[in-house]
Amino acid sequence: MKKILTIGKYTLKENISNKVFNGVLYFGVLSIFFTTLLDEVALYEGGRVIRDSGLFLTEFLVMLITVYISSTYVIKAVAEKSIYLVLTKAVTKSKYIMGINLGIIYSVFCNVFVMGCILGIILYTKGQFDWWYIRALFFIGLKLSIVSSLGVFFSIISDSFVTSTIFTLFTYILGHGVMEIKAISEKLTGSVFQWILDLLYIILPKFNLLNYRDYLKQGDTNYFLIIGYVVVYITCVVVATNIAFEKKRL
Amino acid sequence: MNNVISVKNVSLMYKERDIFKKIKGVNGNIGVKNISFDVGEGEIFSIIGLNGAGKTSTLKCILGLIKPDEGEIEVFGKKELKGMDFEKVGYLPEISYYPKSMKLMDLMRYYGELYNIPKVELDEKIDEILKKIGLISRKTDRLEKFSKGMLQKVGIAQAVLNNPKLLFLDEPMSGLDPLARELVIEIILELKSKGTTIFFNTHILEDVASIADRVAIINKGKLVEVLDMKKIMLEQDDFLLKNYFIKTVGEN
Repeated sequence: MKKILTIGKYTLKENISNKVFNGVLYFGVLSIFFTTLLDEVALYEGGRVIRDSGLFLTEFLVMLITVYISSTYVIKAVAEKSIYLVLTKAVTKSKYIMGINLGIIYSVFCNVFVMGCILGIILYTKGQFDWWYIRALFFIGLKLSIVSSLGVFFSIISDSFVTSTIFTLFTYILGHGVMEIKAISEKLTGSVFQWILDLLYIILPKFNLLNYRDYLKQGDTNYFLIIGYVVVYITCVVVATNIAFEKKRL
Repeated sequence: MNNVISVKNVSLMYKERDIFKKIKGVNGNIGVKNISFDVGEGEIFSIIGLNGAGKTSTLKCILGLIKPDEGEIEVFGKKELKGMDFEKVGYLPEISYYPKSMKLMDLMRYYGELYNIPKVELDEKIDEILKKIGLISRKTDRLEKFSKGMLQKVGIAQAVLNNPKLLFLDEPMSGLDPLARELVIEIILELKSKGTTIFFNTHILEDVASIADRVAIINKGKLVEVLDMKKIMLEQDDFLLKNYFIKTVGEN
């Protein structure tokens, strides 16, 4: 466990000093500042417009960084052979994968935290800050943690940055439409497509559970169930990643 | 003398992944073919060969980074290096890239923590090694500012961080100036005097001749010969490894 935490810690350190990571983060912070301009042009509820667009920007930009880092990290480590230096220090392949996943999840939450703090300060000054906002940020972090584990998985099975990026982005998009997939599947009773869609419904992440906007008016959200779902999903993806990585000839 | 490494009839084939080449009947490239040798405790054992001869493949098989298709490998008397066994092993890869944005001290701490070196000892140990290789004044610098030779020194520093019982060096002299080469030889001999077994690959034959106890010549994946350097030096004063190597590899 100690080694997983160590790999996670230094993956975070490495990501924080990554130029692409920082570039997108600066851009995100700047963009959030610009959302304050929306307050001037909004006809009513300017604060809410800032909050919604700020949260959208946070999720979108952190998603871009997450996809980039998770899809490239292991591929780069294998290509540059830096992975050997870790694997020859009493670190098993599975611990390495778990450590990398943990490090990228740390990075996701770190990014969401920085951008969330800036937006939080702006919202506070506009009198729009409440606990719903914190919950929304946490859900963004959870959603992107799933995306990060999928990025690592696709990078291991595809061996290509471009392919894994496409797969991860595609899964991110499809993950938001699982309910639609289910609805279509119910209409295609008895056909092969129904089987395919049912399978997709089972394996795709259910991002509808983590869509903060849907919880605005609901008071009966079962947080434990949602967090439990995210933990189980990430665990399944990490197990699959480990199996693929064990078979991989480095 | 106990054997630390035992390699028996090991073969490795790199399978062809290009489907078009497969259709044309290309199955892949030979990594190594039926090689056998032993390395004794406290010995300096070197493998020499041309580019692509199978030196790095042999080393990776011993380290367990690649599973050979055939044959048996034993390290410390075990079939496979696992878990804590690696804490007795140091390794310098042929090309060691490091996260460029990391600071030297952070990188060394990272590897030290993976070796389970206690924090109190770790910083002292890092300072001691960095002093020895002349990089102590650069310890807070990011690795992107380091030259190729300096990065090679960093590689050697991380490989000896845990006082290894068995040290693998893949082209340790690559990119080093003559002074740094001398320093590496000094480090290798110092470790040998402490009982460390050293296994290294290199192209620089003068260094091999001066420090190796035994030298294996490998060509096109096959082990051609294992030379006992001490014995040869006693028997032939004018023995030149370079000439012998060219002659042997040429004949093969």
